[in-house]
Amino acid sequence: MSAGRASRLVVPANVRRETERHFRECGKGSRECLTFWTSSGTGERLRIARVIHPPHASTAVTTDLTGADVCALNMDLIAHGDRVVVQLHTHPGRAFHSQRDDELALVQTNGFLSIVVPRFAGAGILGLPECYVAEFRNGSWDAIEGDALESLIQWEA
Amino acid sequence: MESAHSEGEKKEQEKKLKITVVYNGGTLEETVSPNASVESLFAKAVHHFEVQGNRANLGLYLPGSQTPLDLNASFAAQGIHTDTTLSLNPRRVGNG
Repeated sequence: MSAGRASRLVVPANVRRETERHFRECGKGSRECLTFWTSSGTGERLRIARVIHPPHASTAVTTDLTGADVCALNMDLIAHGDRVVVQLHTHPGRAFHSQRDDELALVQTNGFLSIVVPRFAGAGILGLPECYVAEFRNGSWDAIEGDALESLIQWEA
Repeated sequence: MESAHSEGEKKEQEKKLKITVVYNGGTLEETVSPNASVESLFAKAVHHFEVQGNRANLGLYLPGSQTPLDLNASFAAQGIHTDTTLSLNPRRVGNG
């Protein structure tokens, strides 16, 4: 458990809506989908700048992104002056962190967050309903739960 | 003698390659020998960006390339010129 270690996130309404739209339009209720949130800030309170929906392959239970696509993403980040601070992906059923989620994450540096959204994000992401959230810390993923999860995100109207 | 030595050093320096490595919005600028293995820069970049976890899944990519550089081969052998930008990133990102 990593209470108090993850940065708090401020998520603008347009970022939330665009993320939900990608999950809805790309996943179509039958395939997993993957997005990234970026920020140019530092410190304990990070404002999300934009959502990136990368080109990715998907099935009902997987998403895959090639190294070449990640390379292009890295160049895009340099051009925009931001960095990915959260990866979000959907699951067909309940949310949890699979072995693939652990081992094949986009970023593996301290403080990076992974949000898994259940049931193809049918209930949206506002308030993270039944979502699983984990933080990368010292080589492994720690679940964020309870009060730490409650205070993790400030959703802007 | 001293000036000949300095001239040699200058020529040697001119042969070096200036490489920028990017990782998740961060940059690392390094000067490397064309004949050095890419592995040395890879290791330095992994350390600099404090990347942990699945190191075997990481590679150094030239923008536009479908495959990562061969870490055991030299920069010169892989056609890397000075002022090149390389991306340190996973060979594969997956969820499920």
